[in-house]
Amino acid sequence: MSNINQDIQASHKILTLLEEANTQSEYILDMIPGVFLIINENFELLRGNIEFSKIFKIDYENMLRFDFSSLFEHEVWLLFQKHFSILDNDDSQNSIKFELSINTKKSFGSDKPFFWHLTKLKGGNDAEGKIYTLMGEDISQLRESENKLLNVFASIPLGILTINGEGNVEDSYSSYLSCLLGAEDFNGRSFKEIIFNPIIDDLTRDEKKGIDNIFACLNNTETFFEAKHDSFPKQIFFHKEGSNYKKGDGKFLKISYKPVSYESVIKRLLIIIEDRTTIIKAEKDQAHASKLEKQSKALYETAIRDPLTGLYTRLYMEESVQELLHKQDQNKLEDISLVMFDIDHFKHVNDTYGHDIGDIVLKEVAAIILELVTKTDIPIRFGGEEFLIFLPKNAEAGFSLAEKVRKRVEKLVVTFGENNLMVTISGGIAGRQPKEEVLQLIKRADTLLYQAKEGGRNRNIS
Amino acid sequence: MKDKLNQEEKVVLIQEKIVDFIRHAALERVRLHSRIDDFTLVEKNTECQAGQILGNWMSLILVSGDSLRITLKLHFSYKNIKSIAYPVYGKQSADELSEQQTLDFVKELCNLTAGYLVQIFEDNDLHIGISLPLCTRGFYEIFSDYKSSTYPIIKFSDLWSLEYENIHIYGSVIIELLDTVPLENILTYEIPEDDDDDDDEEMDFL
Repeated sequence: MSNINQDIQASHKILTLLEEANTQSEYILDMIPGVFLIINENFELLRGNIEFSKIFKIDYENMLRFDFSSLFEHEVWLLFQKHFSILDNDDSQNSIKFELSINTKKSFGSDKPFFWHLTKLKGGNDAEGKIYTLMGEDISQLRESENKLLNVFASIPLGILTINGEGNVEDSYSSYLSCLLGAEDFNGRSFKEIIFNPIIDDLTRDEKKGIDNIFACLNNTETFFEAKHDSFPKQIFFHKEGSNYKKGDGKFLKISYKPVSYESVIKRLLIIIEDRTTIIKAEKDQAHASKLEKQSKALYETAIRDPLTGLYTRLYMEESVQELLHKQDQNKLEDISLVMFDIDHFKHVNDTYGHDIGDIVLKEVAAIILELVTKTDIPIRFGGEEFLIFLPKNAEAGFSLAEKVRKRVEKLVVTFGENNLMVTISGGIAGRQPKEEVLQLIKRADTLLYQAKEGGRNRNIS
Repeated sequence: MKDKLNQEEKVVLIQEKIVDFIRHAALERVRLHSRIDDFTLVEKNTECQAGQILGNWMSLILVSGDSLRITLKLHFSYKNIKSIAYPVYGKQSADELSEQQTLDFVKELCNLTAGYLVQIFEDNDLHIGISLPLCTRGFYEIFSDYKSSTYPIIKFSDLWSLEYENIHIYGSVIIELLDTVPLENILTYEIPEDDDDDDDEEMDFL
C-alpha cells in the first residue's frame, strides 16, 4: 500500500465522521422552528429548511434558484431589499435584525409579523456572489399575547406608564390614564408637567424635593433609588384649575414607582397611578360614622347611667328588666329576685352636712353595690337614696348579696374635713312570683324594706 | 510522439487526457448504473461557473495517487435520480424509492466512476486509491475552491452534465497534478472500446 493510499484510508474515517456530523447539522437546520434560508446576491434560494417549505408551500426539490423576491408583494419586497442594502453598505455590520410582516397567503388581512435576522455568510468562492443567511421567526403569537396583555392593562382601573431617562412619558399602557388625568396624548410629554405642575402650589417643600429626587434617580444607580424612594410623593390630591374648578373637586392619586434597570443603572421608571378617591372618601365617611357612633354611645350611656353613682337609671330598668322578666316567662330563666335598698336617715345627712356630702355618701354606697354585683345583675338608682338590684337568681341569693352590701356599708366611713360620717342601709328582698309585673315586684320589695326600717334599720328582710 | 513535445505541451495533453478519462468514466458508469444507454455528457464549462450550486444534493469522491488528485462531485436532485433509479432497486415507481436509496444510488455512481478511473490509471502503471463516496447538501459547493494554478501544483477543473431527457446530473471536477512525469504514460493510452465487464471487478476499498 502506497503512502497516498494510507492517507486515503485514514481519511475515510475522518470523512465518514464529517459526513455524519454534517448530516446532523443539516437536520438541525431543517428542524429549526423558524425560517432558515441561504440566498445569493441575486436573491436566489440556495438552501431552505422545512419551516420555510411549509410556510411558503415550496417543495425542497424546487427551492434551488427560486426567486426569493417573488414570494412577496412588491412593497414588502422593497422593504426587504432595503435591509440587504443596509447590510451591504456597512462593512462594520455582519448581521442585522428587523421586524417585517409578510403575507404568506397573499390574501388581504393575512399579514404575519416576522422577526428576521440577516447575516453575511463569510468565506466561500465567488461563483454565487455575496451569500446571505436569513432566519425568520413568526412572532404573530407573541404579538397576539402582547395585545392581550395590553388589553388587560388598558382595562384595569390603573394608570400605567413608563418615563424615560429624560423624565418624559415613553409609553402609556392604560386608557384609564386619560380618564384619571383628564387629558390625552401623554407620550413624549414631561411626567412632572402632567402630574405635578397642576398642583405644585399645594405641595409641601418636602414633596417638591421628592419630585426632584424622582428625576435624579433616572440614569442613576438602584442604590440611589432605594435611598431616595421614601421621599417621592406617593399620594397627591390631583386637580386642574380652570373655570369649572370648585375647591375640593379632584382625585386622590396613589403613585407607585418601580425602577427598570439595565446593568444596575435605572433607564426608566414604571409608574402606576391608582385613583384612591373613593377609598379615601369611604375612609373619611367611616371615621365620621365611627365618631357619631361613639357620641351616640356616650349619649346612650348618659341616658342609662346615673352620672353621680354610675348605676343604671330607671330608663334602662324599663328596657333591661322587662327583658329579664320575659326570659323567665319563656322559661329560659328559673328565678328572679329584687333587692331594694334605702340609705338610713339620709335626709338627716343632707340636712346636716349638705347635699354635697349626701352625694358623696350616695357615690360611696353605689360603689360598694357596683363592686359586689355580678355581670348578670342589674343595679339601679331608683330615685333619691333608693337602689334596686334585679338578680337572675332566687330570693335567697338576693338576700345573701343584700347582706354583703349592708355589711360593707356598715363599715363605710365617709371622711370630710375633720368629720367621719358612717351610714347604714336597709333592704327588702323579694323573689318574683310567676308572671308578676315589675311594679308589683317592686311594691312587695318596698313593703319588706319598710318592715326592715320599722324593725330598727341596718337590716335586710326577705 | 510524446518525446517530440516540450514539457508545457505535454502537460496540456495530460490535462486533456485526464479530462477525457473522467468524462468517459462518468458517462460509461451512469449508463451502466442506470441501465440507460441514452445518457449523454454535455459540456457546461461555458454555460455554468464552477463553484455554483448545481443541485440540492451533492455526492463527492476523492481519487488520489502519488502523481495526481481528483475530486469528483455529482450534483443532483432527488426528483431526477428517483426517476432513473427506481427500476434498479426493483421498484414500480419513483415515489417508492426512499431518500436514502436515492443518495446511495449517486454515491455508488461516484464510486463506480472513481473505480473506472483507478482501472484506467492502473493500466498506465499509476497506482491510485479512492475514498468512500460522501453525500451532503448542494449548497456546500460554495466553499469549493476551483481556482486554477500552474505551480507548484497544476490545478484545473471541469464541468459537465450527464443528461437524459430532462434529467441532469451535473459533474464538477477538481484535478490536481502533483507529478506530471509518471502521467506521461497516459498520453499514448486509448481507452479500450469494450470495457463493460470492468465493473464486475472487485474494488479494493482502502
